[in-house]
Amino acid sequence: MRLFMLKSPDLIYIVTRAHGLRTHLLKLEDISALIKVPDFPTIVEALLKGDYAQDVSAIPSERMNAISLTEVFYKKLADRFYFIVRITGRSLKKFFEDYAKRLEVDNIKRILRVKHGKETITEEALIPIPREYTTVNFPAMVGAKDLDESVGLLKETIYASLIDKIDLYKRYNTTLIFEGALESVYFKALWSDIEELPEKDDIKDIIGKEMDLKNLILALGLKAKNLPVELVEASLITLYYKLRKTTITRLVQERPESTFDVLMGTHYARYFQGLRDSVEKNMVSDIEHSILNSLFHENLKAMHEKPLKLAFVLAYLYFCENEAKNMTTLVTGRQLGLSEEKLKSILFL
Amino acid sequence: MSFVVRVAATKGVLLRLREQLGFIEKGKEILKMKREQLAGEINRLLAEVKARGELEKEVMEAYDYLKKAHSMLGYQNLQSMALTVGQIDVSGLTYSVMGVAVPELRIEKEADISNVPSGVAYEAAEKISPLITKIIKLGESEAKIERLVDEFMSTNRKVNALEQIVIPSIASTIRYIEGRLYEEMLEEFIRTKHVREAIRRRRA
Repeated sequence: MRLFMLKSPDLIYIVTRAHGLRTHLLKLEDISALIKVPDFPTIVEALLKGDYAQDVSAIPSERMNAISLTEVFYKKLADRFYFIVRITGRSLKKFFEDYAKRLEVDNIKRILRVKHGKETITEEALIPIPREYTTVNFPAMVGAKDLDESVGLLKETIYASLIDKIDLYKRYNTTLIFEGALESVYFKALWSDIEELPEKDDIKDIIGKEMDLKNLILALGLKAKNLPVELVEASLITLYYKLRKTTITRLVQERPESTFDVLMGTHYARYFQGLRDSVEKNMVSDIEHSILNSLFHENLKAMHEKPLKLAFVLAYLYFCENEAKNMTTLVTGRQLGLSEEKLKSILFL
Repeated sequence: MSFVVRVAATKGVLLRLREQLGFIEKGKEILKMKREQLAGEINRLLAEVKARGELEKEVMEAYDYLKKAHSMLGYQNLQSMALTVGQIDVSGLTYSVMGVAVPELRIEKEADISNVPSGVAYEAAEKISPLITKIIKLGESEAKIERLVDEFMSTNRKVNALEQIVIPSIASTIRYIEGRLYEEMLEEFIRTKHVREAIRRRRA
């Protein structure tokens, strides 16, 4: 029994490091204080004192704006993700490497959207991912002459299945197909890694919940657009945890007034309670924000309840991502002149 | 403010001037009709442009949604999502209103926003997309008004010039010639009378 309770050194090490790394994150009080800051330069001044100081101070004063700061926040996010990957022992490395691929997925999505719009993109517009952790040739994708060529460059990567989606893309002329396929590839890789983890039930619960809720939000968004069923199905994540495919199909096909009842019949009903109005009015951004905020609080709770488990490290990574999102919202919102109340309503606090 | 044009006071000139006056009067009436038509068209378009205030309010509201999306997604992410919006196709034509070439913009294809992946960006696109159509139509009406007003002012100036200067000066020239011809006729009559008197005296 005692042997059963023993944790692997890799796990103990990464959890301990995550506890230390967590102290580098901005606290909720810090974010709340930044919301009250009257102008953009004062936010910059505040950022020059913390973890972002080195990168922020490297920005020339004429380029000091929300765009440059967002680049810094996402660079820091990538640094934090890949730092965890670097310090993790062999038994957990593959999982965290695949977890960090969400940044890679985000980059591929951005490139494909830009290629779809027949515009050009530079590497500066992407989240910087260390070369050794990506099999995707981003410079080549960025330089590709069109979307077909960009997708073709994914041939030797785990995203090769996107090449088969080109015909469907051409039929419907939408990148939603690729985005759904990318998410599916991402979650499938992560899901298979979980099987090898020491605390797989805990992790399955966290990743599975994220995946299912993402799918529900995606389905609600696609439903609002009245897209063909074939296109909707191709744009969803093809992996389910506590959801059933039939539930998603029902959700997409039911009349808008029945959508809420379908959601109430799912395992995730509690996330939608109190959102009847938003669901009926198809206010997907409100639903998305409310769910992500609930996830944020659940992760906060998990951090306190499972301080010695792998779930703590995942919660830490979730908080890193959340901090990047919150800081982007904060600096961009402040630059655009959003009020304190408005900022509070769109931040994850 | 009329002035007399120095012309030979002959019957031929008088006839030609009367003919000219009649022609100019007709032209003036036609220009007045054109002016009224232009005024009517401008008034109709002004009613369309009056909706600008309402449109500006809607734009500001949509701009709030855009600010929210911009803040939540960041510039690079939002920009990439904006590129998934299908292009709007607009064709430009010109047609004539009382001889004035005015532009007409026809929206051949509305922007397709169904590919926007994020909920918050989609909401912003949903608010902005119909406003783009309205803004194009408003721009068209404003361009039409600009051109019609130019023509209205030019027509107005022409009518005023005819009414205030050209017609009165021709009329006074006609009056002058008529006066001169009357005087010449009187002179001729008196001269004839004198000649007849002289002949009668010689005979007697």
